[in-house]
Amino acid sequence: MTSTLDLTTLIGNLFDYWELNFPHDVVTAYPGIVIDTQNLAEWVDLELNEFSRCIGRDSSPPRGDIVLKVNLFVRRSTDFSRINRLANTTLAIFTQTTIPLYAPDSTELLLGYAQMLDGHVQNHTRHDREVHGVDLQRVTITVKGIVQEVSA
Amino acid sequence: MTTTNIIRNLRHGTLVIQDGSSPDPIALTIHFDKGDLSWTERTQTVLVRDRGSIHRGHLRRGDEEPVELSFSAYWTQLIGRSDDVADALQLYELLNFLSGLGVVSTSADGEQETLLFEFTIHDPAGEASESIVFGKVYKDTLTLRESPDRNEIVFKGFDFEPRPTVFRTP
Repeated sequence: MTSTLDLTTLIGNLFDYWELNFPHDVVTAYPGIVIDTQNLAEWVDLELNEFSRCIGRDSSPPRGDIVLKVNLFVRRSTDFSRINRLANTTLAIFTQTTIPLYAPDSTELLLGYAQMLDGHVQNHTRHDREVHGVDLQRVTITVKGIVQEVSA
Repeated sequence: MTTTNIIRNLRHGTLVIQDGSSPDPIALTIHFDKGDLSWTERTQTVLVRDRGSIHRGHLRRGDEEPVELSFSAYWTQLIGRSDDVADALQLYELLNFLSGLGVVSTSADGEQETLLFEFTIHDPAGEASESIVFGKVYKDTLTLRESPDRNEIVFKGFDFEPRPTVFRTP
């Protein structure tokens, strides 16, 4: 079965979902967009790291595995728990959720679902400070998911 | 139609399960099978030794054996049409002949319930596709298994024939 879900549409859907559900007033950098972080106290960087098609019948709707990565940055302030709050929110948004995937510019033409699995949190703050001398809090959240297209 | 000696793999197969309704059987194309269909044609042979000697002995045909068959599929909905006639037919309810579906066995009344499995291997070169038909498949075990990523339905059964029918398809 021919795939109707291209990479741009998949990324667009995941990031639309993020925008709709992330309640904090934080600038988000999407793939391919460079933002000037010079004057920002905090920001988020989203990337779709991996997308691999699963081997399956030619007659079956295409399926694939994805790895979504959310990088959270907060400059050091007196509010040390800010980074953790952002991380908790991110986990709640993407962990064990099923995200409908629609055709571009449509909220009705359903192409498939992204079934997000369990999140993995990694704090890079100490490493960044000790190795690179960067005084910035940085947490990465990695979530694996399964993409499944629906048959027409 | 010519033969094409290109190796086939799971991408080229399609499994369709049909009941015995005539002239329009109920048919379900399995979209989420894993691509691990397997069948074993078995032969029984009687070894007749002449006073313990194979050299002076001979072989006889034994009883015919049914074909052993298995496949697994990813688990989506278990029941559909048996709950609501407007819903799509689901693998689990078809294999179990659930009431409300009107599934008719491919064996005679009073015999064990069987279904027809048609497995088509499409020729990657588009020349010589083949269908393998198992006419009287009965269930031995049906295992439903959870997994962290994808739950599975595992079917094991037999086709009450010594071997399936294989023919070319256009």
